[in-house]
Amino acid sequence: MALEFRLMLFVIFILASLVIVLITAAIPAQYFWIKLPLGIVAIALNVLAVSTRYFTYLYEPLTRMKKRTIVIDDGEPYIMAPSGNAIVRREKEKVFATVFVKIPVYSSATEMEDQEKLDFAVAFSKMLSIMKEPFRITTQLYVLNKDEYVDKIRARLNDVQDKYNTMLEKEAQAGQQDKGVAPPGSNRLRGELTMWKNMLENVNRARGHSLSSFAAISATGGTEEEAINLALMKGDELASGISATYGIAAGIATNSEILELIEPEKNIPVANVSQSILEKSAGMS
Amino acid sequence: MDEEGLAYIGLTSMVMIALVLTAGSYGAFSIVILALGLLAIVVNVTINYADFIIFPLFTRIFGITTVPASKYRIPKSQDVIIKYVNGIYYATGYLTGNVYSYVFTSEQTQDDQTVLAGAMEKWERIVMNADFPFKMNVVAVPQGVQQYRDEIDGQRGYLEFQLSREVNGSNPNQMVVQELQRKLGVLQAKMDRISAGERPLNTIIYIESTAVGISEKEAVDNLSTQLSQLQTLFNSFDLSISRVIGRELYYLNVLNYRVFSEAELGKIFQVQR
Repeated sequence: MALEFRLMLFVIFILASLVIVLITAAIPAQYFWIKLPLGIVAIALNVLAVSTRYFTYLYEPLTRMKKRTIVIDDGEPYIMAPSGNAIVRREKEKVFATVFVKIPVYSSATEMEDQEKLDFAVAFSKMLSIMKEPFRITTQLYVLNKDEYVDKIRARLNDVQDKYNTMLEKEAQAGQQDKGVAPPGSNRLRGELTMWKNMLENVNRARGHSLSSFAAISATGGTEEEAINLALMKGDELASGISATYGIAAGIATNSEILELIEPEKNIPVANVSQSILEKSAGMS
Repeated sequence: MDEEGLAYIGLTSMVMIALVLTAGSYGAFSIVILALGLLAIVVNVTINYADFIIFPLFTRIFGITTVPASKYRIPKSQDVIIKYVNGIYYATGYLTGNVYSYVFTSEQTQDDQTVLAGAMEKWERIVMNADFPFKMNVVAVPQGVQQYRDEIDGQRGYLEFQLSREVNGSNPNQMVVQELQRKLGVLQAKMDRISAGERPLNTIIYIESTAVGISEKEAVDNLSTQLSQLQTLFNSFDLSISRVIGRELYYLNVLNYRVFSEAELGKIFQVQR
């Protein structure tokens, strides 16, 4: 439909340009003050005709332009489907739903033989041709939300610390420490405590990155429900194809998983941004 | 050159040539009309084949920014999309590159296989060396089998005609004959793969990265550094990567939320075959 509209505009502009050129050619030379602006209009229409090939998406917003800002869309770029397993985007009267398929591949080239590497690469190229319609495969490196991770480790550390303290108190009460023999339970807890302390230290020191892969496929429909159902059907087909190609369990991404794939602020959590700003200012001072 | 582009250029140029030919009737302004008509032809060709030059030039001159959606903004440079959330600027930019073209070639040699097997290690090295978020995207655009077969048949017929003309000529050039035979071999291999059930495929490959900053300038500067680093890192794949500027930037952002149809992709992007 958009393509037809584009061609229709092209025909209108090119015909208008041609008609004006012919009219100006017929006007006698002494009326050059009429001919010149008409000629310029013909040239402008001619350039507009070519621009219809790529820039029709800007035509309508251009008419609403305010203060040198072209607003193509002032709404949210998408909304999450009520079921949380797809996103919905409206473009004029059309509704598009997109489903994201998680691809849990944990293989590394370092642990593969040459033939396995080749097989993996060939499987990738085969995976690209499993659907009859376009889809996108993405591998993304994103920054982990360290705060969340650190909180988990800290909670675990506190838990173990409490258990260790309780055990020490019990041991002291039982007079076991006087005998100079540490019971196996406290040794294990001490070891676990050291492990969590080391982990917390390492996590605080290192940058946390994670790698994930996913595929995305879209469907269009007359209503949101129709588009979502069609997209989910295609998503399931895609997931089955990917699972069969790589021998993995690919599944449909939901809610927060989808947001991590499309929202930039989920790729770089605010906590990490503040930390990097602090690091920078510390480096400068 | 694509047929559609030729049609656009051909039709608009004819109108401009008509204008240029009648420029003499503009009296004192003949030169002005002549110059503007010729300039329009140049601008039209540039819009058709290099709109990434004309469009940002236009937005820079007139200081135009674009708002693709709520909270997003494309500044007049047209090379970055900025999102402003919770007092932080997130700048996203894109690179395009023909990374895996050799995966889809039909004439696989031992060398190609070595390159293919080495691609994984190169990829892992890139991931290990990149200290910032980025996405590597491959859009698979499957083609209709019959249409692809017809295309191959057409190409094969033309090559066979060239080959027979060369062979039956008075002084056949062995180099040309060999080259034509090689090309025919590639087409046959493609046909064999289609017959074996493989679906013909076009691809669009692009890399996306996001940088943050407490000011827009900081985020954009950080992004430029990241994209330069990615360009260097992906050089190990021996390919030319270029930054996406202009119209395609907007569409790549939309691609985050929906995958375009085959017809739309063919019109918007340069699809790799």
